[in-house]
Formats: sequence, structure tokens, C-alpha cells
Amino acid sequence: MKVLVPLKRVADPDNANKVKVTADGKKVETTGLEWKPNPFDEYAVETALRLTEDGTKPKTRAGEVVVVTFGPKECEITLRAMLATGADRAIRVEAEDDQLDGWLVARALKKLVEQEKPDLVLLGKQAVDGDTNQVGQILAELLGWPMATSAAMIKEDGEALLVGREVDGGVINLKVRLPAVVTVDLRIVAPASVYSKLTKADFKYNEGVRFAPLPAIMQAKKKPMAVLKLADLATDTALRIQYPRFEPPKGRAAGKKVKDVAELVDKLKNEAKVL
Amino acid sequence: MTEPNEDSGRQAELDQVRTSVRAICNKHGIDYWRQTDATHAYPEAFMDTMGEAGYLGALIPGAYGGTDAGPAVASVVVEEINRFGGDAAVINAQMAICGTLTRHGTEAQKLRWLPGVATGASRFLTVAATEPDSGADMSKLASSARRDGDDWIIDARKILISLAEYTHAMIVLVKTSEGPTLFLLDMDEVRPHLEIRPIDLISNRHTTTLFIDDLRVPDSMRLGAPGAGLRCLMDGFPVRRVLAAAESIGNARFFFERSLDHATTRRTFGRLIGQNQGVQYPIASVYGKIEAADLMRWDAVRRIEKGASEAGGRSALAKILASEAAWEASRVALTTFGGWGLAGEYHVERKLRDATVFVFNNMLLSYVAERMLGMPKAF
Repeated sequence: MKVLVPLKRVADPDNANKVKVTADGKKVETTGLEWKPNPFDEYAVETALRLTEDGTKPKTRAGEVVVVTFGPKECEITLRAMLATGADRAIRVEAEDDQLDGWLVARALKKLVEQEKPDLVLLGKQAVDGDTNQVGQILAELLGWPMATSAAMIKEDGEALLVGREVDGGVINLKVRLPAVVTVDLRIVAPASVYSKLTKADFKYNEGVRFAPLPAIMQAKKKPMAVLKLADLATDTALRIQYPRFEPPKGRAAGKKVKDVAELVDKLKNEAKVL
Repeated sequence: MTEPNEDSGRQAELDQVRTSVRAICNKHGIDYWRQTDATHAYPEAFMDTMGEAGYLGALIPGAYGGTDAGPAVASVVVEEINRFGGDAAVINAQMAICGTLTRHGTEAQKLRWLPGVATGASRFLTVAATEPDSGADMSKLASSARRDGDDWIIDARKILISLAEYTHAMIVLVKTSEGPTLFLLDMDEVRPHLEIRPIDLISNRHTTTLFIDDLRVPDSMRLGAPGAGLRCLMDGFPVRRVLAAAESIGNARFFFERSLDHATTRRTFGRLIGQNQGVQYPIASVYGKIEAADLMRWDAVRRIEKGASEAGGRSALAKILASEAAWEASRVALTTFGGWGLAGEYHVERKLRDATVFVFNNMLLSYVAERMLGMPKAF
């Protein structure tokens, strides 16, 4: 199976307080930010690796995992990290962060999918910066491919995938014919969430994403990294989403302790005015 | 952490090593180290994981099964383990001690040991050099080897020898008629002639006194030329010092990061303790010292990589500065944590004992004074 994993770097979600807005409020200040791969995209890469291997032999890839990102040269660091964990090759589409929106990325990805011809496009369910949750869905629509979002379980089943989606009250199981677009949720990296045809049903993965062994880190710099121009993948690069102004969220006031229920009711009624 | 002036490709590689080593540390957890310390255990499970992940051969050439990743990567590995709250002593030994073999061993010796060291199947953890009467003065060795036909007969008494109970291969420094000479012993073969007595030390370093009695070895176990023993050991010192510096920077960052976190979350007397100047200023001050030591460490790494002659002096300075920064950071942690700093559950007292092992710098200060400043020889 050939899997294409589009991924995005985001400002380190564990250090969100470092995100600053420029003085004119026009954009988010990106200098000095520590970048991390979007966690859901990391899960998508882990899922792609699990789908292209026998879980007992993770060094041998059955198929191909291609990672792609849109952004400036420094994004190659994120791609190299994915090559080190096991992806076969990487593509960077040259672009600046504020030249992109979900609609443009999805259209460029459609063109890339037509060139690369993967059996599966795996994405994180959303990026944790913009939280727009769009690219996977728009891409599936543009391609006319079957889609499953927020997958918590994937099993390879002949020429299709069995996908479990966690929803309120239970799990919806879908059978998705390939080629397809699937976006993944947090629990996709649980020990018994993803099974390729080669991985036996009683095999259990370690929880979470795998770490890169040192030899793979050393070899990652020799793996192919292609650079494409955004204009080669999308003729219309106008943005549909405009951000007129950014503001940091207001600081939250400290909580208050109340001594009894009567005081609580009084404050809810007269201060918070929610009763 | 940002390595100064690194190109972005190399920076990315070192960042990946940090991420990867952190993931391995997280897999075992910090209480793993509390447990190995409390039970004086060898960190076998951790070393197995590091072996599977290819880290043990970081300094071994590819032709012998290693990754040849170099001292920058090796230094980041030990730094991250200590920064996490672990103890990198064993992996430091496994990565670096075989360097003498890589540089001076015969092809047969290298093929015998290095591939196993790279995977972890063979443990190469011990150099037996220091002696009861002469200490670190390795020119006055009492231990000896004398020729007997084609063989050598070794008699040795060595003290403060780390990990001798656990290693499979050991380098021993003895005096021969040609001068100081190294032998590379296979512990399984020589065990009947060995006596190893543990020394109860401040931290879990598996330190021992070692006696070798009337041991006959073939000349094929000699490592390097007869009389060249000290030189063969010393040309590996810049790398060993950089790794000791990186271990100390890891220890220092452990104390610093824990202190910063505690100072900015712990409230007493109605305010954050980090608002108190008596807590705040030492944290700010030691931060500067850690960063300065780290700059010297990366300077030394680059000089080693270039083969520059100043690598010896700069690596000595890096080790001195880093161990002093870690010592000071351990005091800062005690100030910040108060009584909790002495409680096992906060890990400060354990790391404080680990970090103390690195504070003995007199030989290095003497080296700096003599070699870098042209002062009279102190030792």
C-alpha cells in the first residue's frame, strides 16, 4: 500500500503562551516559536507506518509512506524527523504560512495525489493551531474518494479498510474502499488500533508514536526530499479565508472559593447572571 | 536547547536524537532510576532499549556495526538521559570506552568486540587504571605485566574501578619493561584470576576494587604498542571529557528545570516562592552558568570534530565549567525545594549524589594551568 501523509508543523502546543501577535494585530509572530509536528499528523504517520508493515518487523516496509508539508525551508526539519521514524520520502511544497488556507492546501493536495497516486491519504483529524478540521474532508470531496474522519481504529481488509470512528454512545464501523481519505484521532496510536494485512491479530504495539532509532536518524538525511512550487500544484492561490485581526485571549481572572451552596447560588444569580 | 551556530540539517539531527532519547526515557520513567539507585541495580532494561535503538554504537565506525554518529550525538544522548533524571554513567561507558580499541586495536580485536558492543550483546564498560598507592598518577604504576615466552603474566591491584562486575571486556593499564601498557581482557576468560570487591559509594556507580593475580594472557590481548599505554588512553580524553561535560550539563539542567518549575508553581506565605529574591536570583544566576558551560561544550565538540589541537584544553574547560554549574545547580535546587529536596520522591537528592561524582577537577585544572597557561607542572 502506498500512503501519502500530509502534515503540518505547529507552534509547540505545550508552550502555547509563547505564541505572540504582532503589534499591528495582522499576524501571529512566528520568530522564536518552537515548532512541533501537529500531534494528530504524527499519529497519521504512525498509522501509515503500521499499515505498511508487519508489526513484528517494523524495519521492513511493505509499500511506501510519503510525507508532504507546505511551508518554508525550515519545515524540512519536521519532514526529516518523519523520515527518521520510517517514512520513505518527503515532499516540501514551498510556501509561507500566511499564504495558505485549508481550501488552497486541499486543492494543491488533490493535484499532488493525481501525481503520486497513493492508495490512501492519511491526515490528522485537524491541526491544533487553527483547529479548522477541513483539509481531509475537502480533499476527499475534490477527489471524489470515500472518506472516514476521526478514525480510532483501522484494519486492512482486502482492498478496503475497516475504520472505527468513536462517536457519542459508541463506535461506528465503516468499510472504506480504496483509494480513500482517512483522518485519524488520538486513540489511533493505542496498542491494538491499527492492523495491516501482515500484522497478526494478537500483536500489540507500544502505546503512542514510535521513536526513531539512531541509525534511522543518521540515514534520514540520505532519504529523498523533493521541493515543489505551490504554483505548480494550484493555479489559483487566492485565499478564501482572511484573518483581518489577531488578538491574544484575555487573561482569566482567578477563581473564587465559596463557603456554602447559598453563596454559590447567590453568585451564579447576581454576579455571573447565569441563573 | 539550541546548539550555537549549527547548520539547520545538523541541528535537526541533534533535535531528533533528543526527541528519540526522551521517548526512550519516558518509556522507562523516572522512577525506574529511583529503583535502580535504591537497589544498586544495573540498568539492564534501559540499556537493552538503547541497544535496540542503535545508540550504543554511536562512536563505533560503520564497518564494525556502529553508526559512527560522532561525539556531538553521543554528548546529546548522555545529556538528555541525565536531564530527564536518569543516570547516563553506564551508557557513557559503553559508548566511549571502546574508543581506545577502535583507535589502537588490531583488526582481530576490533572484530572480536566492536559489533557486539554496538548492539549491546557485549558490554565494554571498564578501564582499570587508578591504583591504591598512586591514585591518578598513572606514571607510578605498581601493577605489572612481565613476558613469559610468547605470553604475559599480569598482576594488578586497581581501585575505584567502575562496572567491573558487569562488563564483558575490560582494559587494564599495567607497567611492563617498555613502560605503561594496555591489555584488553575478556572477563569470562580471566575470571578465575580476578577478585572484585564492591566499594560502597555515594551514588550507584558500581565501583569496585580489583585484584588480578598471576594471570597468563597471550600477546594478542595486548592493546596498542608496549609502552604506549598512557598515550593510547589519553588520546581519547577529549571525547571522554566532553561526555562528562554533557552529563554534567544534563544534571545541571535537571536541577535548573525542576527548580524553575517548583519556584513558579509553589506558593507559601501567600505568594509564589519564585517571587522571593532569595529563590529567584540563584536560579537566574545558575542559568547563565549552565548556558556558558554549554557554549564551551559545543566549542570543544567542534574542535574535536576538526581534529584541532586545542580540543584537549577546551574539553577540559568544558568539563570543569559544566561540573561546577551542576554542583551549583544542585545547591539551587536544595534552596528552592527546601526539605523536599532531600526526599527521594522529588529525585533531587538522588541526582545531587550523581552530580557530585563529577566535581573532582584538580587533574584537569593542572592540565589547563600547564598546557594552556604555561605554568609549572603541578602533578
